[in-house]
Amino acid sequence: MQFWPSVWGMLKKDLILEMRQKYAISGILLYMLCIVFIIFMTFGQGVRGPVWVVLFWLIMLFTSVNAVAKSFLQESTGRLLYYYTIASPQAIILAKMLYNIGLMILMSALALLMHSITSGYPIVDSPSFLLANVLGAIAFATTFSMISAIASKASNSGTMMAILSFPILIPILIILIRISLNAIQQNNLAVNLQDLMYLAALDVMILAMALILFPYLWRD
Amino acid sequence: MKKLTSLSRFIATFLFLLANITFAGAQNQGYATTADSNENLLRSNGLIYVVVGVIVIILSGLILYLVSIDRKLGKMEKEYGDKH
Amino acid sequence: MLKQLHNRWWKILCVAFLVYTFTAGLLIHTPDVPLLHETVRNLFFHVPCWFSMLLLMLISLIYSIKFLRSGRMIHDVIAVSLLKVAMVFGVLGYLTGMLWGNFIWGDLLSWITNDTKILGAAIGLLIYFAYFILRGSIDDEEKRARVAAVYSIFAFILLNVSINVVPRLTSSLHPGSGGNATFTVYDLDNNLRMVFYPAVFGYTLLGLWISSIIIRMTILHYKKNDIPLV
Repeated sequence: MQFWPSVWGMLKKDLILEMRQKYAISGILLYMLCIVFIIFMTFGQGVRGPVWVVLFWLIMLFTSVNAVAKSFLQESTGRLLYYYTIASPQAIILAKMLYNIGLMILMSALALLMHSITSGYPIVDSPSFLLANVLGAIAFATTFSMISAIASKASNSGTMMAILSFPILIPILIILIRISLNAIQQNNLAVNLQDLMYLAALDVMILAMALILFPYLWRD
Repeated sequence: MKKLTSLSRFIATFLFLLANITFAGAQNQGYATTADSNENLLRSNGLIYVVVGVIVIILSGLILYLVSIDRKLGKMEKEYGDKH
Repeated sequence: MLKQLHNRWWKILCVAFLVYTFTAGLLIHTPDVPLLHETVRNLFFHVPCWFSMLLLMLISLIYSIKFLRSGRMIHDVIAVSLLKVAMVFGVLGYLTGMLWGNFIWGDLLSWITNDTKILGAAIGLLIYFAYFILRGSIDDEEKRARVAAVYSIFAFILLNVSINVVPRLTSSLHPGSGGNATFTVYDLDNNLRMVFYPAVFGYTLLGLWISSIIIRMTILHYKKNDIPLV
């Protein structure tokens, strides 16, 4: 099969599957709601400054590890074998990543909405914060997709997911938090421009590395 | 085997003592004079004892690691029933 | 590298470099740097831990890539053995750094938050602990080697790019960043360099020596259990 049609086919399959089994996405939403509610019960309206930023990114981190983890863990070996006969491994990982990027951008919008409703919206520099959100969502989605593919090969994959991915994501989280901290202090996109460009470059690099390395994973 | 365990126990004790001295230093921050005797010993002679501490840590770490490799090799020898 | 495993010359070289490091490192005249004083000598004992760790990890990375390309188990054995020793050097670097930093910066752990190099080292160690946990949770040798190699390459490259290439991630107390004036003496004094480079060389050779022993042990183990090395 051709490359792009097979990517599109895999993408459509994931979407349909998600629509059919609504419990997965609603489970993640409930998870996010719980965190936001706990934060609200603890701090009330009093979340400001760095605490707001850190809590937001923690919500994002834990939501995304749960949302993306299932992308390979849910697939049975038989089904994976079937995919490999009809599509190239690059097409499979690219489709998964694109789907997860979409999912993560949706999730970050929802998290931002919930967090803003309960704890207020202290961001002054919205453009750079939202841009950081999108780039961060892409970084989370691509990294977690790749790690999910790795973890699915191990036993006890659930915990493996967190162990393998969190150390890699710490530097990216630090950059994201730095951008957000700038964004609550001053309305100046130029301050964050360099960091945002580095984030974009990192995203592209993760994507490229996943495309190169994934073919070695699937041969079983 | 028995020799090895006693050796590693000795090293563990030694490391514990070393850690004690390290953490004792951590409690009084800064470089000024203090009454603590550990402090004064380690800060004397232009902090040379810090260098000694670093060397001792590296040496004991490497020796501990070698002991662990030695044990693994011993286990393998026992498993295969011959000495190479 | 395999042919060199049983050679003797580089082991003699290693011993010579280490003897030189530990005698000259303690005896040569060092400039009296304010604040550091005699601990400048830790440049010969603490810093090579990190350098050799990084070098061993780099060689391991090369062998991981080689393994993915060739599928020969022996490359995986080499990569893992190098990483084991690299981890030991990393932990030693951490412990000695704690002792040193405790007296120079006056704190044991709080500077993790504001120093890139320490942060990078901490995350690097975490990644490789995770790597060994990952290996432990896969039973089939060939699959384990493949998955671990993929993770190792992915994590190592990503970590190094995000820590070292991205500028001003955080300031650093270490030389080369953050404008720490006391450390510029490293760049000025040729005496220090004369011992520092041999020290790095000696430590790395020692690391290779220890890992060569582990490699030989693992090869023996594989042969006894009839696991093909190719």
